[in-house]
Amino acid sequence: MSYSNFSSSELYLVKEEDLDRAAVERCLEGDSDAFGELIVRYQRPVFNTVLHMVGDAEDAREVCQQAFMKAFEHLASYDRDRKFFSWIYRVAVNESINWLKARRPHEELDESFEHPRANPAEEFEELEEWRHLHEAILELDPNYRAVVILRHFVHFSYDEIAEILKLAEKTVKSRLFTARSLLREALEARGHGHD
Amino acid sequence: MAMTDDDLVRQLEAVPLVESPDFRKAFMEDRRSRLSGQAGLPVLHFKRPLALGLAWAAAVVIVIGVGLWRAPQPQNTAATMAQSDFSVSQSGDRIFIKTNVKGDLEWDPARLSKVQTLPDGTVVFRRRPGAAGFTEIRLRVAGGEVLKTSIRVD
Repeated sequence: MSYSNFSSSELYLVKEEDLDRAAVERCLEGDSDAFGELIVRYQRPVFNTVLHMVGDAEDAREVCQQAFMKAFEHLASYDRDRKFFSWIYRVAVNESINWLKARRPHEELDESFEHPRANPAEEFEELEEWRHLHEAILELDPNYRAVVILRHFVHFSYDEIAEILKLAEKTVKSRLFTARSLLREALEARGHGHD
Repeated sequence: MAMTDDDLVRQLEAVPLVESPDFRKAFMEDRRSRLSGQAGLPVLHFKRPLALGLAWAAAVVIVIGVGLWRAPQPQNTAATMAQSDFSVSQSGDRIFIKTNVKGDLEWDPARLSKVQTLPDGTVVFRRRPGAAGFTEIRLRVAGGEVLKTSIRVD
């Protein structure tokens, strides 16, 4: 997706706020289909956020699934005066950070386990042109990683990121500045530079 | 030459969004399986004498039950059984089993393959391609079977 496409997606999010509110109301009245609508609306950007946070498509699928289930189970605690999308992203980012903290260095895998290859996300991981960038992002501390992903991959504004991560806007800017410096260093170490 | 911030931003913003798996489908399947577990009880209609007989039988069971409950409980596997529990959830071809006691899980390798153990102790199984019907997963503690659960795999 190009940058211009994503701009229209931002507009889409703004337009959908009222629909989100209505879906949440219906869901709290017992209509779980309404939560399905919310999932459809946010699954792609939320999955991409989680994918870059955890760095593996299969892990991202599980973390994202858990995030949506957790959001559904805790929907009553969501403050309806705030935007739903900032809440669902917060749940997803927190779930990703918890996953990264809890992840053991090595998972014991059954010998018969075959990593599923049907997901296009795996194809993305195999694209050479993104490999170094992807690796450099995964080297960042998850708190820095989150601001880079929310700003540059899903294109949130500083104040939206501040709301999602419950940070002051100046902290978001400062983390982003540091994160980009670290990314540049990591990419330069891999031979990337200005042509 | 050093990479500028603009170069980096350009690279970052050129990264495409990938397609997402269908989380709605997994969510709706999960909701349906939970709801069917609650709503599947048959409604029975009895004639009056049969209903009275059942009420007496229930009263007798309650009296015996209270007597047994008040008797001292031996510290054995039965006590563990009362406290142990399975939590089973399913997402697509993945089955997640969490138990609240430490023990050994047993399963039918022809129908399920173990994928991994998550950090919280949840064991993830994957349905084998072509598996059908029900399969059982058993929990053993100190060699004795404590719990078992039956899971549909098709």
